[in-house]
Amino acid sequence: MAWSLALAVFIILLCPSGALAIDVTVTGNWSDTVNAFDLQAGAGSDLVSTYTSDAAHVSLSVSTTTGDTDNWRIDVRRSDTVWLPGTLRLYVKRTGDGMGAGTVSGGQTFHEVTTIDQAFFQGAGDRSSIPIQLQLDGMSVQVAPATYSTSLIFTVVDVL
Amino acid sequence: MRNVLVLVVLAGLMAALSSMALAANSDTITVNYEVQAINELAITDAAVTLTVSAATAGSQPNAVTASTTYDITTNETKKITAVLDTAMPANTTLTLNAAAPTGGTSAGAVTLTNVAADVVTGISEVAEAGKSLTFGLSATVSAGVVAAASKTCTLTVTN
Repeated sequence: MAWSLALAVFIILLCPSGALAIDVTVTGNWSDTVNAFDLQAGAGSDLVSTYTSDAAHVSLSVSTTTGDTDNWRIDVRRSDTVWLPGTLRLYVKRTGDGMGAGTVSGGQTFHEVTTIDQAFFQGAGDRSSIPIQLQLDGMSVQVAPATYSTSLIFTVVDVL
Repeated sequence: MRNVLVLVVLAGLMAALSSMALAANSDTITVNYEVQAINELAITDAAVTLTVSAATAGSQPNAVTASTTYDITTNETKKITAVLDTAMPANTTLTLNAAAPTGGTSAGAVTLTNVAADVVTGISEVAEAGKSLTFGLSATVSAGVVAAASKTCTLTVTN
């Protein structure tokens, strides 16, 4: 009997509680072209080094939380396809709070995105359409003509 | 009883672990930046004037020079060529000595004709302004009196 009771408790605790994992959705791929029009002052001058997207170019939503006290954190990292890691640097910044009953904080200064997950901003509860701005730095005539491509991976982590 | 206790402890540990870090979820956007070939050259002055008008008795007329500058930006490996729209009159010679930007090599004083000639080679990923262009005009007495005329010299950043 005692064995049966213990086994039942064990199985119940192992079973999924039925709650969905917190979900993150991101939209807003960023594409741009650098050409002679981006020279600082025509022939003899170098390229403008920094390029910034619209303030709300990327929209991030967090959903399927368990409620307004369900804390989460957004991590971000880069996965390069064709990139110049020592030259081109990518930054992200949260430019607004989005919508919803939840809360959001942090991430309101430009944060460099590396190839390792790093905390970007945090919040609690469901939150939609959080605006994010992107910035590319390091452009110059030393960057050879090519199409440079990388992916930004946003991960929502449920925290205590 | 002891076995029950072990099982309960294990169950408690499983519950604790499962609540600390729930499954994370991710989404991705792509950043694409196209850098196009950039090759820009600008000459400061629209024209230079060269007049051969003096000589030392017993010698050919004195050659003369006139200078201007150019600015260049390239994100590739290039050279600069120079060409006249039409050939110079007989017994007259026009030369160009173009200074090289950092990393490049000047060909020195190059005789200009209506066939493109290299004036600077080995230019790579550079943005520099104010590089000198020195034109030289010489004529022998066999040229005679040559009426004032214009030639168009075209500098090209090329492979």
